[in-house]
Amino acid sequence: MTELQDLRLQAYCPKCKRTSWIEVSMDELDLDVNNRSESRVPIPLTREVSDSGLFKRSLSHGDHILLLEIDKNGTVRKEHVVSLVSSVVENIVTQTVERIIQTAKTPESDGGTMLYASYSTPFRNFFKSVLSILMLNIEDESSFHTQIEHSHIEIFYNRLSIIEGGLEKLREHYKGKRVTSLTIDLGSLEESYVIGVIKDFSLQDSTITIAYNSRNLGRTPTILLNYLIGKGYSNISLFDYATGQGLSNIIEASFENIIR
Amino acid sequence: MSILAKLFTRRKRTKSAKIVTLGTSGAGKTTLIRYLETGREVEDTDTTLGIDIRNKGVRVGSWNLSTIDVGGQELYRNALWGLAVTQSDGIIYVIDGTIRADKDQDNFARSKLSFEYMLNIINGRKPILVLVNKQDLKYLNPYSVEEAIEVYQVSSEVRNRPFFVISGSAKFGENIHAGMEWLIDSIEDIKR
Repeated sequence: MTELQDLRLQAYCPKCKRTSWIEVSMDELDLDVNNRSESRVPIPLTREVSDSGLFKRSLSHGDHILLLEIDKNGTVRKEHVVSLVSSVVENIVTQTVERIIQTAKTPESDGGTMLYASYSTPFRNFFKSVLSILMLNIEDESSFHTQIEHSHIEIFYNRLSIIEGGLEKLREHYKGKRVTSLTIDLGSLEESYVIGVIKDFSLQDSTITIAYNSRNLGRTPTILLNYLIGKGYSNISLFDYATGQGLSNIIEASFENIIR
Repeated sequence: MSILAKLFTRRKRTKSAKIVTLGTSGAGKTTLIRYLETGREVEDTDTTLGIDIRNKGVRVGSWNLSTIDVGGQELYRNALWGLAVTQSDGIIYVIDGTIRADKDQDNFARSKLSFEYMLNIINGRKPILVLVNKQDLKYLNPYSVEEAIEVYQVSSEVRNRPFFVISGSAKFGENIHAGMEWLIDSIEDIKR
């Protein structure tokens, strides 16, 4: 009997532009040994085998997954790239929409004003996605209205107000007014600048969340955090959304004071 | 007001303290805080990618506790644990009891390194409650208190600091109350 050897395949990742080798083990693939003739490449049978006879293998490439479709001859027929960040963010968008609807409908909720100061495109896009999905899921439109402008997005739903925009814009509109939560996407802003601006907000008993991207910033922004701790604010968070997952922390923290 | 009434009022006066939860990522720090906040079984929590400081969400006896929850990944450990410890009156170090030296050497080495890191950044006599967590996962044979003390060399590492090691489950609140009582008593002793 001829011993089955592992298949060694070359795979190209269009996202990171590199070529790597993968080994498809015979044991792992549970080959259809009975139907195999010794002269041809064994047919790998896995749960992933489709009607077309292609089977799938995935390779983890950090922030994305390379998905390969391999045919019976051991040739890579298709490569797909699945962004982990995108899929994580999609889930968080859905969770956020559910959170907003649940909060707006909860009778015990006092509602509140939630400000999100954002400077980065991914963060702003996140809120645009939230708004799009939210609009599709609103049942009672009489208690819901939105305003979308170039510089900001406003969502009003029952007693809940969610406003996303630049920090300066938010300061202009909410100076001295009580806000329930303030989330600041640090982006490339200097922490000392943010400290200067947030002095104008009325933040006693508010939840203050600093959002940052450790990949872009290259460090953890502790100056602002130390300032807020020193000022004795009650609820302070600092979360890193480099992988997308931190958005979930950010949203949860910002809703913390809405329903007790 | 009578003297007795005054004494009673004084005894009942609410006290406050800050506690921080430290440990490797996935050890159960956030789960523990959620349990302390709600007193109920905790569903899955998101990984904490940073630091979360909450004011007086936890009540133990006549104490209102603020909590500081910090991510256990190396990035956040290096940047934020020191800051969190400085702000706190007591530390809860959560060990994932299912990470065993005899089964998962790499993860155990990381867990022990993290424990040693925590001891190195604690100055003074802040009490340390060590929770050997995930006792509910019996099929993974989690460490007992005695085993954890031995493999983490707790006695020699902790040296002169006040510490207490318990085994339990943050998810279900098993044995958490006893640990919190010890922590509060120790904080009170130090504050006195």
